[in-house]
Amino acid sequence: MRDVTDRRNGASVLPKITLSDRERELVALLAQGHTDVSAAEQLGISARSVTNILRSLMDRLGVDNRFQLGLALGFLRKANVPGPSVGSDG
Amino acid sequence: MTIDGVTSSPLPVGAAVPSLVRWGLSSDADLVFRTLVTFGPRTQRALAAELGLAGRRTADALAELLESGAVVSTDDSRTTTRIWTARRPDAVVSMLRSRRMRLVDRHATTTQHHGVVRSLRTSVAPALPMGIVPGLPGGFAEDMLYLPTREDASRRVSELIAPPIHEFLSMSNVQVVDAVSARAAAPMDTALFERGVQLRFLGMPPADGDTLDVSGHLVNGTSYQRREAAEVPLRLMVIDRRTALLPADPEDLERGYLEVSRPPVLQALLALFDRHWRAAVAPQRWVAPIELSDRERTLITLLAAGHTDQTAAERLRISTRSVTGIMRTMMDRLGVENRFQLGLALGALRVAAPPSLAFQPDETSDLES
Repeated sequence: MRDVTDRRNGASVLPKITLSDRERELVALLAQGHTDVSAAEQLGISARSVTNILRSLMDRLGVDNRFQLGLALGFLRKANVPGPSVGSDG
Repeated sequence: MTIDGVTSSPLPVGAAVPSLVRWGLSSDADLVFRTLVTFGPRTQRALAAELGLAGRRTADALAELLESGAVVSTDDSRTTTRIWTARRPDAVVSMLRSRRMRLVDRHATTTQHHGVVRSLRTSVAPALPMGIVPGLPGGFAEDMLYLPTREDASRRVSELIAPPIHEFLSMSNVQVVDAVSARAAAPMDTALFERGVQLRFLGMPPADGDTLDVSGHLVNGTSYQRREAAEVPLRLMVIDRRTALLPADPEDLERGYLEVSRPPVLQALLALFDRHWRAAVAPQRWVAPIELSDRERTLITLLAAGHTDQTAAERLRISTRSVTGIMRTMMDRLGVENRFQLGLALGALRVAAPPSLAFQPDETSDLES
C-alpha cells in the first residue's frame, strides 16, 4: 500500500467533497462523541435518518464502515478531532 | 446536594461529555470527571473501586480536577468520606477555555506592536503614526496610506492581489481567528493558492487546540506554508515585497489599516517577518501525535482497507477479542469514545486513509510518464 504520509503536495490531489449543513452538523456531533441516538435527538431527526445520512456519505467516499468514514473525514479535515468544539459554531 | 453551578443529577448514560484531555488535563482526571458527570457524586474510594484505579491515582486526578475547578467536594475533615461532585461539563470547558485564552495578554500584544512601529519611526519612517490613527483616509505621508476601516482594508487587499502576484506573506498575533477574518481569508487563500501564489502565514497556536481552520486543506502543499510561533510581534500582510499593511490601531482592527510601500520600511518589515518565520515551526494541530506499534499500524492499515475485525484478526493470527483490545487501547490514548472518532483522529494524523482516498488517481501527477 502506498504510504499516505509520503504523499507530497497532497492538497492538489484530494477529492473535493462538500458536506451539506445537515451532514456537517451530524459529523460534528459524532466527532464530539455523540451516539446515533443522541445526535438524532439533538438534530431533531430520527435515528434512521442519521443512518441514512451516514450511509450516503459512506457511499460518496467509497467506504464501508464508520471507522473508514472517520478516517476519510479526518484525512480530508472535514471535522474537528477528537472531542468537542464546545461553544464554537464552526 | 445544592452547590451552585454543580450538577448533582447525573447526565443520561451515553450523553457526550467533552474530553478534558484536550484542555491539558490528564487522562485519569478526564476519566474521573466523566464518571462523576455520568453517575453522579461519589467518594474517592468508590471512584477508585469502580474504575479499578489505584487510590493514589484517583487522589491525584481529583486534586487536578479540584485545582482546575472541574469538581467540588464536601469539606469533611477525613478525605475518605468527602463526596465529590462534578461541575456541568459546559461550564468546565468554558472555564478551561478562558484559562487558556488568557495566555495571550492583549496589553502585551499592543506593546509589541508599538515596539515595532517605534523602531520603524526612529530608523526609517518618522511619519509612521503611533498611538494615534490618522484622521483622514488616504495618503498622509509619502508612500503611506490610511485605510480607515477594516472593510476598506480588505477591499484594498483584493485590489492589490488582483493583478498577477508572486508572493503573499502574512502574520497574525491574534490567537483565535475571529469569524470575520476567517470568512475573508478562506476564499482569498483558496484563490491565491489556485493561482500558484507563494503563501506564507505565520500565526500563533490556537488557545484551545480548536481552529476555525478554514484553509487547512490547502496547507502542506508546496506553495502554502504555515507556521506557528508563541510570539508574533504584530499583524502584518506583505504583498510581493512591495506593499505592506498593518493595523492602524492594534487594539481595534475596525479602525483600519496603514498601507506602506516605502522601500526601507518594507525591508525592515520583511526582515522582521523572516526572523520570526525562521524561529517558527509547522503547526501541530488537531490531535496530539500518537506513536503506534507495528501491530497497531498493521491493524489500522487492514481496517482502513476495509477488513472487518474478523478478517483482520485472521490475517494477524490473533483473536477478534485482541483486535477489540488493541482498538480500545488506541481510543484511550487518543481520548476518544468510538471508532468513528478514532478514524477521525488517525485520518487527521495521516496515519491511514481508506483505499478510496489513498489510491485516488492523481490526474496532474507525472507518475505515469
